[in-house]
Formats: sequence, C-alpha cells, structure tokens
Amino acid sequence: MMAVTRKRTKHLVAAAAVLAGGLALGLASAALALRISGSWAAVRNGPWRAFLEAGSPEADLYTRAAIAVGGLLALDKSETIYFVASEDDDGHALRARCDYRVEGRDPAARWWSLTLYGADRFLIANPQQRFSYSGTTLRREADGGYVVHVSATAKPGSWLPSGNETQLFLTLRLYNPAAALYAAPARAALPRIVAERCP
Amino acid sequence: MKFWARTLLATLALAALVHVAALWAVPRLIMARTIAAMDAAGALNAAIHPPRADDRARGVVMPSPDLLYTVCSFDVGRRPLRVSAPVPGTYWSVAFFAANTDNFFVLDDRGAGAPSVDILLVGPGQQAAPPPGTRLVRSPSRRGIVLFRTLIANDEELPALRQAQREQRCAPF
Repeated sequence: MMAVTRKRTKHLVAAAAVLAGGLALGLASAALALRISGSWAAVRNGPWRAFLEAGSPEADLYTRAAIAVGGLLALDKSETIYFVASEDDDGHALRARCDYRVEGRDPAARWWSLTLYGADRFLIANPQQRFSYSGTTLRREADGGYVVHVSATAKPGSWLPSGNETQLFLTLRLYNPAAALYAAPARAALPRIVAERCP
Repeated sequence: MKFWARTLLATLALAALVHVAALWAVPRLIMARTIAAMDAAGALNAAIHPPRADDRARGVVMPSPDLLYTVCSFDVGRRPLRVSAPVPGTYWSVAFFAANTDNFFVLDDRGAGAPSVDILLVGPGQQAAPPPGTRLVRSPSRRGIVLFRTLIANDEELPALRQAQREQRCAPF
C-alpha cells in the first residue's frame, strides 16, 4: 500500500514539475527571444535598425512578434522604411542626460523625417511641442546637410527636447524610398548620432 | 531512460511548445487589444479622425507627428466595408492590416491614379459585386484595421489636410 502511494506521489510531483517548469521556461524563453530579436532580426546600418518585414506575411514568428511590440501597423518596405536607433554611433544607449548631434544629408526618399521618442516609445511632452524634423523643416548647413541637436536643454538651430527620459529612440522614416535604398538598406547613407556631452 | 531524465525531456518539450505558442499569440493579442480600443473609440466599421499626434497620443507606439491618421477597425463577418477617400496632393496612403498584423493591402497617392479611391473590403470566403469604379480587396481575417496616412509637409497646409482627413470614410456596404 505504501509503495503504491509513494510511486503515485512521485508521478504527481513529476507531472507538476513538468507543467510548471515547461510553462515557466517556455514563457521566459519567449520573452527573452522577443527582446533580442530586436537585434538579430533587423537590418543594421551603424546605430540604425530596420525591420524590413513589417507587415509582411512572410515574416517569421520572431520578427512578427517583435514588430507587433515595437512597431505595430508599420508599412511595407516599398512604401516606407523605418530606421530606429536606441544607441549612438559608439554603441551607448541614447539617454536624455546626454547631448547628441544627429547629422547627415537627405536620404534618397520622396519625403523623410526624424522623430524622437521616450522610453515608452511615445512622444516626449515639451512646452515647444516639438517632436520631429523633416526634409522640409530642417535648418540647413551651408553645404545642404543638417544637424539636429537632441538634448534636455535648448540648443540653437534644429533641436529636439529629450526631457528627463531614460532610454530614447530616434526614428528615421523614409517614405517612398528610392529602389536602390530599399534594395540595400544596410549601405544607405544615414545620419550619424554623436554624443557631444555625456556627464 | 531514467525517470527524472524523462521528466526533464518532457519539461523541455512542453517549454518548446509554450515558447512557440506564446510568440504566435503575441501579435494576435496586441492586434486584438488595439482593435478593441478602436471599437471603443467609435471606429468599428466607421472612420475616426484623431488630431495631429503629440505626447498625448498613446494608443499605438511611435505615432508620427507629421501625419494625419484616420482609423477604422473593420468587421467584415456579415457585410463588406466600403472605404473611400479623396486623394490629396501630398503623400497619402491607405493600408489594411489583418488580425495577425499582416499588411495585406496598401495604396498610396502615386498608385491611386485618380483623384479619389473607392474600395470594397470583403471578408474571407465572402462574395460581393463591387459597384463600378470600386476596387475589390479581400481580407484574410474577419477583423482588422484600416489606416489612412496623410502627410503634413508644412504647418500651413494643416487646415486643408484636416478637411481631407474628414473625408476619409469607412462604412458598411
């Protein structure tokens, strides 16, 4: 009688361990995969990352889930390419306590914009109600290029206020990108993100 | 095989299943939640026209402050949805998203080839005779989202573009 009970207890414990362990491991590994798929599933261009399969029926399990979390309702790449940066050119996370210079030339697209988001991927409240610059609204340098300052304190010229956010995201949107660009996004000439002052 | 080795194997097998199931579910759950929020805001088979995005726009991540959006959450289970809009003289697009996040249709101002567009969206397995001049699009899912984007290239254009935005319509057919 005792032997049967011991055996049954052993099986029950094992079943509970399988259920609990399988569930926990499955969910934890899925959450981890979601977090890191942002790195390896995307096209890289310096600090910029693009998910070229946004909205695509061909997107794999990981890409689809990562895009649903980070870029829901993004358009297909022939319509729009979204490059997102969460780090500067040196690979350090973008933070509001640092001052940045985002500088470059017009990318090959019908229209483009640079938008700043906070840690929760929403626009950052500021009295100036300033959230983005586009090819048509940027202050230009003498050579036709541009410099956009990203910092918590006001800067002359083009400036995006970063408030007191921890993690910042910069999104470069290219509408109707040139065919050469979406054929080889890793080689497109994208703006540099330079940390100027980082206490 | 030893008992506990079998138990470990069973755990790993279940974990793999849960892993795949969870990743499969994430986009569908996020879409379902977004669709429910749009339904609640009055967008069910109807167009709503939010104002230009600012820090208060917290429905969908990374909204562009340079676009005017019109959204409709569609349910084409019983009737098709008619989607129509004038095509303004700026970048403009209409995109349809299925319940699993697939962007199964997009048309922009360059591809429209006409001063206005008229689309009939039908559900899976449905038949419909589109009226003349209307484009038929089939959705792979019963539920989903219609999203219009209208570019604000400069602020002076905003009043005229807000008017064009209001003429972007979704209605049961």
